[in-house]
Amino acid sequence: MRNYIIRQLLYGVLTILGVLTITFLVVALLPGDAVMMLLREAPKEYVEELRHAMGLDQPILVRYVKWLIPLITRLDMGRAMILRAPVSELILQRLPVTVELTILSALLSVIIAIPLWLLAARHRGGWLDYISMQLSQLGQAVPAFWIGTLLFLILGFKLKVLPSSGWVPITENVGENLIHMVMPVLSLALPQAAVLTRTVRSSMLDVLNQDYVRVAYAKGLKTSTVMLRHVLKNALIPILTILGVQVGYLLGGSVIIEDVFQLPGIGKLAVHNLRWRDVPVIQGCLLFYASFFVGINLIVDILYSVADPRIALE
Amino acid sequence: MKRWTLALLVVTALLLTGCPAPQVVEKTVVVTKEVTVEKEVVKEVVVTATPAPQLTGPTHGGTLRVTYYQPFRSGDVQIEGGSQYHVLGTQVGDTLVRWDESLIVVPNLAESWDVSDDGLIYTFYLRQGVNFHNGEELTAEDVVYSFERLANPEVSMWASDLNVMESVEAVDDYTVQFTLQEEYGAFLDVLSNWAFIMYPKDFVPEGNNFVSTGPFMIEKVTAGEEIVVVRNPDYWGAGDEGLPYLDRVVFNNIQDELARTVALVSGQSDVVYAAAPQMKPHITDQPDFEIVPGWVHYKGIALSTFNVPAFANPLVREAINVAINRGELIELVHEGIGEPILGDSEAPHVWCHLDENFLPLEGDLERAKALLKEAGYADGFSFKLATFGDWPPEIKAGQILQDTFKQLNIDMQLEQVEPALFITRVYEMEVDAAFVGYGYSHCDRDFRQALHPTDAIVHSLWDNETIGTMIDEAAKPADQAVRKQLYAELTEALFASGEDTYTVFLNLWRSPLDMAMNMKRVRGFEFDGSGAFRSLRQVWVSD
Repeated sequence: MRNYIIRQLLYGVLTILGVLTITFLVVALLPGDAVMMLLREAPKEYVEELRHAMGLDQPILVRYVKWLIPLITRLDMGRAMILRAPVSELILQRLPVTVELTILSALLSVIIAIPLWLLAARHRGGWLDYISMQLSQLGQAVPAFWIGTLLFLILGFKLKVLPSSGWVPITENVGENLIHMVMPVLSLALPQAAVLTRTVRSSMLDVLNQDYVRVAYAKGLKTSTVMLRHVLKNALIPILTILGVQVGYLLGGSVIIEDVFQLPGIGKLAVHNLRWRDVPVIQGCLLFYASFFVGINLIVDILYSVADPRIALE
Repeated sequence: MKRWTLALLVVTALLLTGCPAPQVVEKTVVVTKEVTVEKEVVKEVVVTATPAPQLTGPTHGGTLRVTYYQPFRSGDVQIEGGSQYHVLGTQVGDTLVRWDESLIVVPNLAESWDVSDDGLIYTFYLRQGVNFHNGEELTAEDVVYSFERLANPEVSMWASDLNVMESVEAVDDYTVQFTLQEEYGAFLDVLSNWAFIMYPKDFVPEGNNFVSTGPFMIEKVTAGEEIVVVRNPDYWGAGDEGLPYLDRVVFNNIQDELARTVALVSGQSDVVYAAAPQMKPHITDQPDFEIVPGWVHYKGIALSTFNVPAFANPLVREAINVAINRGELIELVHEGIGEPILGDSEAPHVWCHLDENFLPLEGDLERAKALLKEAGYADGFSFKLATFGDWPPEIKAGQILQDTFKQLNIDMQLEQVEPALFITRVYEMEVDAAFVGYGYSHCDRDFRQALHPTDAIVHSLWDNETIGTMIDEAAKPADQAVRKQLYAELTEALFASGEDTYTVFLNLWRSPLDMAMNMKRVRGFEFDGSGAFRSLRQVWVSD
């Protein structure tokens, strides 16, 4: 197992490096740069001077190497050109927001989906199954940002029952923190719950048709015991697979949702800095996203063997 | 691995395509020159944000939340640009001299000053007993350090304003001497700029670490998100007005105008700049909220005579100018709030405003047709007008202009330029014509930045040496009346200039950028007719 983890980590590092290289080149090749966003009021000679001071007049490859070497040797992500602060500091300031949003959304999507799985499995073909499938289809068809905008306008603006923007650190006030998270988390979790319900339902049905389930019933076990101890446990592998990918999608969705609800997270930082062409910050955000993906998928792989001891990680 | 790669590509794609709503980007164009708006007011229109009778007097304590439409990038007021830093700078620092409500330069950190007979040496005598936020006393060395930093183009975006400064030195602990390269009558106005606040010698703001002399001190900086300031209990200028009432002010930014306005209505913010037009009924219908005019915002069109040969003909430019019905534009685009601007682009409250009107206010299509015929363009021509993305006011104004020009056989197409590219493309004049938004009020700097052959901010916009020399000469006399006369001559010369210029400006209108606030909670908030943000020392909150 140790060898497997080391190998996967190496693959992960290569994947991250590939993503960072492609992004650096794409962003660097885009027209416009941070200096033009900063010096809107200065004569051209000043623009050139600042461009030189920031090293933006150097060839792309030189800039890439100059950015990459400190990252590899000292884990130094550089300094933001527009926000004038170390990139690591900017990301660390925003890390709790994005991580909290992603985790809460993933949890809520599972909490919503589990009863629907059980319901669908228990009453397959019935009207409850039909309704839950229709709801999940609807959820899948509606994007997170649309739900977010709707919640924002109804709960935030019309009814004024929830804050429409901002964030309070959990360390400062747990209640306020959770209240600020309700709409963003719902926006992300509802479509994800729909996807989870729909995709996991089929694997549940597969398991329900297995002989050991019939045997369990034949032994006289209660339905809830069969469901929880035999069906759900054996359906965990596909659920874990989907959850792993879904957390990735949640992270992607948070980019937009953070902007809709003005959450000071990494997604909002990335979007704004992309507009400002601040390459070190964009790279820093991508490094976070890529590492998060790699980490989550590694954890899912390890959980496979925990959920099903027959799977050996080699 | 495939799954990882796929997932990473999805996030990368989301990041690359995950652009914000159009309203977010629209504000960027607003600030393309808004940093030039200063506390310059001749005709002051004071709006007191307390319509209801005040039952109680000012009370100490509480937090005011101000939401701006541009991000507070860092706490380094000296080197940042943008009107949001005017808002912040006024609270956390002080300049050597400042403008009073009549635009007269008055003492501030400097008690008095002398100007040499040749106008080249300015000597300032500092007020004694002024302490920085860290308790140290302000001395001449701090002033020297601050101005050397402000004049460094690799650090400060204000460096070009100090081009005229040859040196700055400390004569003794409380005397500072500036030597200019040439006579520059507007030098005191330059020093009144809100960005020219003082830092202690060798101090560089970083993160939450900020030291200056203002009535509020920076407590926390979350770059790009918010800046929190707290009352300075030892403010040197407390005097009769006393210390600030507020414990704390939170400056944050929401770039989406709808989200910004909802933040006000739902109680997340007390004061928001640039309220969303569609939300105005929701604000004005409620007794707690009110919309008041903020910054004066200007809109014009830059024409490239390089890309469109017809624009090189002064008769064609005049025809276009004559044809535009500015009143209609203001009515349809800004709900009638605003006023047309013609050749003279400075607002009436600014000292260099010229009374002459060069053109009729209503569109005169017949005269425009005659001018085009005389210019040999009776059959018209075609060009594209660039807009800042799909910003609604520009699209709307563009469509109105399109209809107008169609009647002159001029085929004008609208070209929506991606916001990230807009500044570059317009500055380098890669477009036929473009909407340009800006803020005026610093006469000497405005002409220079708009039209000077080497100092203009829109690069390669203007290449007329005669005009450049006139701009240089007009800024020299210390007497404002003389400078005003020279600017009047300059304006006439601009109108007379023709084929030897690359581009021209057509001014369209100026209108206030709305500011909305929670009147029930915010008391004593005052700002002037130009939208300049006064010190928040006199503001208190009623909870």
